[in-house]
Amino acid sequence: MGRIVTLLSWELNDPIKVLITALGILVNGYIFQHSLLISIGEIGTVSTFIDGLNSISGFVISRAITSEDFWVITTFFIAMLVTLTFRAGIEGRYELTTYSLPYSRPEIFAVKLLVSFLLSLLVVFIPFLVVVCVNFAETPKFVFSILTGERFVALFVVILMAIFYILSVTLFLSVVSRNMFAALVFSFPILVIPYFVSANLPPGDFLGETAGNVSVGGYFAISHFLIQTPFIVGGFVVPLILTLLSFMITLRGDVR
Amino acid sequence: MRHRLIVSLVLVIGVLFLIPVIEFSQIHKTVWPGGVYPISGKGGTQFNSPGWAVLNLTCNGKGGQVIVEDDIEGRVLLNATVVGHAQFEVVLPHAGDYSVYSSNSNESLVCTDQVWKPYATRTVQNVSYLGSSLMFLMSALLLWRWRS
Repeated sequence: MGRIVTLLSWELNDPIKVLITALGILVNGYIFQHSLLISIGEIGTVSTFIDGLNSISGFVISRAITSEDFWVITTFFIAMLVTLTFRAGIEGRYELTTYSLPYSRPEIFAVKLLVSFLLSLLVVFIPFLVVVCVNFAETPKFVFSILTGERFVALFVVILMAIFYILSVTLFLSVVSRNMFAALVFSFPILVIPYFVSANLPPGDFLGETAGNVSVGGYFAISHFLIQTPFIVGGFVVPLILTLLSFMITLRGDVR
Repeated sequence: MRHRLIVSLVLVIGVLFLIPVIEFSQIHKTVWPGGVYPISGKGGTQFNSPGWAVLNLTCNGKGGQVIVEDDIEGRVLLNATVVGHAQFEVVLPHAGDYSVYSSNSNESLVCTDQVWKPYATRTVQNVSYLGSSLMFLMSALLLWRWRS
């Protein structure tokens, strides 16, 4: 097990990846804080007799974390991280050394996938948690109740799906193409342009749907959104197929 | 250096703790336009404040009662009777949910609300500055002492 940890530590502590992760956390934190402050939530004519009204602060937080600004920037950082993880070694010619060590190809692939997933999670969730906790520091019990509520567990699942989609598309492109820049140049249009032209493509469509669901105050439960097609196809089926395909290509192909 | 990721994460979280205060200082002159809502015993409006802020409430109608409540702590911030027309300035003490409603179900009022000049409360500032100082100290300590 120790040798896998060594490989993991190499991949995690790569200087340029650490730099990109740190910068991504800062930029995402700033954007998240800005959208938290500029989007005030208000609902009129709610009945005061209904128990368990959804919290407006919860709406504002979920709208900020699913906003387009946030996800365009997040896409940039996740794509950079994934491409660097899977292609920097090949471009820099030190991947052959890694492959000549006693690691099997599935092991190397799994470690790289784990590292890119871990760093993407850090880029999204550290700013989210720290900024929310600081903003609502006056009422810590309220923050805890809002973050552990059912709506937010569902929201976290949606965010994981979006990360998985971005990661798998970039992974597939960086495995298929022969050049790091080609992978980046192809992945940005595929992942970012849907936000600008409001196309119905993942991850924008299910993030937008989540934001809409949350802002109109509809009951937002795990069972409610998991059965919808955009969530299943865009958040689970397509990423899984792309990841498996890139795994096969990595197994068959040469280290180049 | 094998702990590069963890040390830089601690450093970056230190900067992240400062971001709310910086952003508040940049936008604290903003006014958020609210809406126009009927306020009666059957319903009212619920809104969110990003920090310490002033709520400007203007109510019109034949007559009635207005209650502004802090939903998180369950405290009533304003409880006033309106005859004809009234204007209130209510201080919203912290970030969170607030609601405007009435307890009298017969009368109805129309109220307009605006949230003015949000500011980070003292607790938020304390958490921000202390948290970032702690994180910077910890990253310095890690850089100094944590050798592999």
